[in-house]
Amino acid sequence: MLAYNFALSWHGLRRHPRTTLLVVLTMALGLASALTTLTLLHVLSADPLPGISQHLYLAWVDSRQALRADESDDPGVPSALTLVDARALVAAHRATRQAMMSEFLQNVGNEDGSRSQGGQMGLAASSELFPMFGIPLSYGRYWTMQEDDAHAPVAVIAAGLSEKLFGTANGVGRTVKMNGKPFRVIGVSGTWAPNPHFHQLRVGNVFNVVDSVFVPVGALLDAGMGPFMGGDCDREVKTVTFGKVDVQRCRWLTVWTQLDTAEQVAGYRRFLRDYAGQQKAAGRFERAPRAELYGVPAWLELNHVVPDNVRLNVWLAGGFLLLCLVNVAGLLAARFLRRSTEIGVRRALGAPRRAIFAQCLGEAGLAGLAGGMLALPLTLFGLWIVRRQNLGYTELARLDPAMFAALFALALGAGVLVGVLPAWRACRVEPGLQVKSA
Amino acid sequence: MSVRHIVSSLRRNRLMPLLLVAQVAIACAILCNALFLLYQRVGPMLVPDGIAPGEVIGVDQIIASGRSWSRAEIERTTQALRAIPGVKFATPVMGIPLASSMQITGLVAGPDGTKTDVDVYMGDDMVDALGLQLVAGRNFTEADYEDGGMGIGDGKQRAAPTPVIITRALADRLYAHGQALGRPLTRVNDKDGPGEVVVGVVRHLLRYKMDAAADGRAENSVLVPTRITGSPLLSYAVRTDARARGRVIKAIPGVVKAQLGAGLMPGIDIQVRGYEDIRDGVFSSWRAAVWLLATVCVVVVIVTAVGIMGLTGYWVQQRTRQIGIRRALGARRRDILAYFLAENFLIVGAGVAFGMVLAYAINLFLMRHYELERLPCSSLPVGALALWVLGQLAVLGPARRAAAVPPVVATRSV
Repeated sequence: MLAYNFALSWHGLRRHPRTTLLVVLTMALGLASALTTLTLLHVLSADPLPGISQHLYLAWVDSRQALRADESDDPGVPSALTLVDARALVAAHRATRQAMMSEFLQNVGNEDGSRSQGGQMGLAASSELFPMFGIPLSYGRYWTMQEDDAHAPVAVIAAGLSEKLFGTANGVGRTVKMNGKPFRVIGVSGTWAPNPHFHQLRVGNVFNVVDSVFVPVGALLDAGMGPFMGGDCDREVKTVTFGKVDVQRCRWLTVWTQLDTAEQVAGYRRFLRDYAGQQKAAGRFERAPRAELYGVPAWLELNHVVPDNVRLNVWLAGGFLLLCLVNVAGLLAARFLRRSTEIGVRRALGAPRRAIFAQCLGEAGLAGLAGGMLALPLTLFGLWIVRRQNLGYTELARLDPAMFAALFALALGAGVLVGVLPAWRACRVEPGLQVKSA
Repeated sequence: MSVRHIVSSLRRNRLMPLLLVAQVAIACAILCNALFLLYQRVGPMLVPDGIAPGEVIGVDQIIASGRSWSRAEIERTTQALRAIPGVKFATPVMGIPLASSMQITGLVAGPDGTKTDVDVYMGDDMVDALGLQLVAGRNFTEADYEDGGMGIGDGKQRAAPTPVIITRALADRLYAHGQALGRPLTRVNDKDGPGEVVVGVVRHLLRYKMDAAADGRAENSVLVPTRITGSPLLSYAVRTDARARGRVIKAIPGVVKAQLGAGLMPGIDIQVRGYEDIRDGVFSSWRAAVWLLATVCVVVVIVTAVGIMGLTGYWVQQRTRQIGIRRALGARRRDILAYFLAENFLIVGAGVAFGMVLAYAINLFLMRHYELERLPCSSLPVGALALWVLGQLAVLGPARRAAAVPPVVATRSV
């Protein structure tokens, strides 16, 4: 019966090649535009650290100066802390793991300066960064909490950088120089490049950023260096600086925590609020106590990491797909009802409504699949156009197996969906009336 | 032939007209919003920029590592840039049109209280360095300049109002009849200071941040006479002979590095680009959006037209016999034609009515979630009219076929 229905559907499709072509083409256009925009959204909103990021939270307390009448707040999402507060939160150790961090930019050279790599992105952090973010270690070890406290001039570098500076992936035991100061390499990290670069969003592009040097925060400051951006400073700090920071008066560190259960999250939120309240009571904080704990998805959302345009285009393409579907439904209805006479004959010969419905739906599903087949090259073409835009994130736009499967599910689903109404209309054709007038 | 007849005939076979109404409504909603987005993108791209063509170079991202550039360093670099053969003007600035990595923005008000946001250009002799055309008033004089820069001169108040030069577009927006000369320009968040006074008006000058420039505010620019004497982030506007520009662009990075080399932030490249390249770079993503939106509009129109034609074609065929009867009873060809046109007019009208509500709802949704402007009421009738015309054109073919049905058809199968 299934084979018979399929044969009937296939036969039906071939009968009016012009409208069939129109149906398939419209379907393909709608599917391709929806899929192109969805693919871009999908790759941009991908989980930066699968399996880890759901337990990560950015912790923040408001240590900013009270606003004066002629000042307005930074429209961004505040997230930075002073060294004092960041240290206090890390030392309190209320989460499973916690680390403070800040991004810096430096030339990195080998011992004698014979080899140097310009403008390397680095992360100044505290020791629990590595296990918390799941940064893999190829050689050596991470630094310890004792080394954090001692401001030990040690570094963990990426294997690629080690290769370039020392000619070997295992640079453990060697020394790198930044700002003329030596750092002993104690570990070499494997590939670790969360996309988007969620933990430090402030520096330029947030996609395809790779951290290649890790050093303890204290060691960075001792070596006369600082974060790339001076951070958000008190108004007494008159000039903005790059690569150096007023440690007392600027907020430049972010604290990420790992909280495994809902109770832990609630508990940590209480702890943060209490901390802010105590600091306010002690006169250190000027504003009303405020504490925030952002999960990774909320954090990315608040910072508009996925450009609004990308979402807007998904809506546009979705609307267009809907238009195409309604259009196809109309074309299919016209197709089926043109065959009212035949349907009448089939019904008069004893075919149940169900059979007519199945035949029409089969034809619609087949048309949908054909549309999906045609949509595949159109989508690839669309993604190729997107990649050529070169907007910093567009080169990520590639079709992965999940989206490929989604295309076919979408195509079949859309085909059946638009077929339901016309098929239902067709199976309600009165056999008597049609046979009589034939 | 009255509307009542058409409606009663439509009610007998509901599926087809309903599908058509749905199609037109969706098309109308998409079209209104897409056209509006398109208009918003295209507008700023068509604004003339007023920069001397082929002569201006923007030098950006000269970043000091861990400190600010000193007055002596800036002065030295300016002299070195001026000494490059072919350079006519070179001046340190805060703000290069369309290119600045740093932004100084403000909220200003005209005498009648009209408020608007502006981008502030600070620098020395920017009118000449950018090749701007003064249309009223005067350029800055030596006495107008004060020392300044990023974080320099804060808290210090001028004794007299600061002379400023604004664009003609801004003058038209803030002052009656655009008469801005000698009038005050109030900074909204600075109530105590002596304020600003307009001394000159330039024909055109784009802001340096185009994202915020939607809706006719692309030229909200104010020039403030400032001698840049300290800043961690330095930019230059350089104007050359048109023929020498390519050569000068190549020479600039070396010249700047020779003066400031050791203090430069590692890993950040100095950006040196001709103004036209800067503009191209900014607008390339805009052009992509414009192409996308235009394509969407065209495809929506085509798909809708095909849909209307397909459905009406089938429908006419269904009613061949009725048409024959009407013809046999004395209806003329143009009566039949008029009937189908009127029917289409009604159906598209219903679709457009739903579509406009839908378009407005979508716009409200987009406004809430994305920083979009309100859909102007004028864009709704434009979309509606376009669809009505489209509907009539699409139905013309099938309607003419219907009108060509000979009366004899009616007698044939009865």
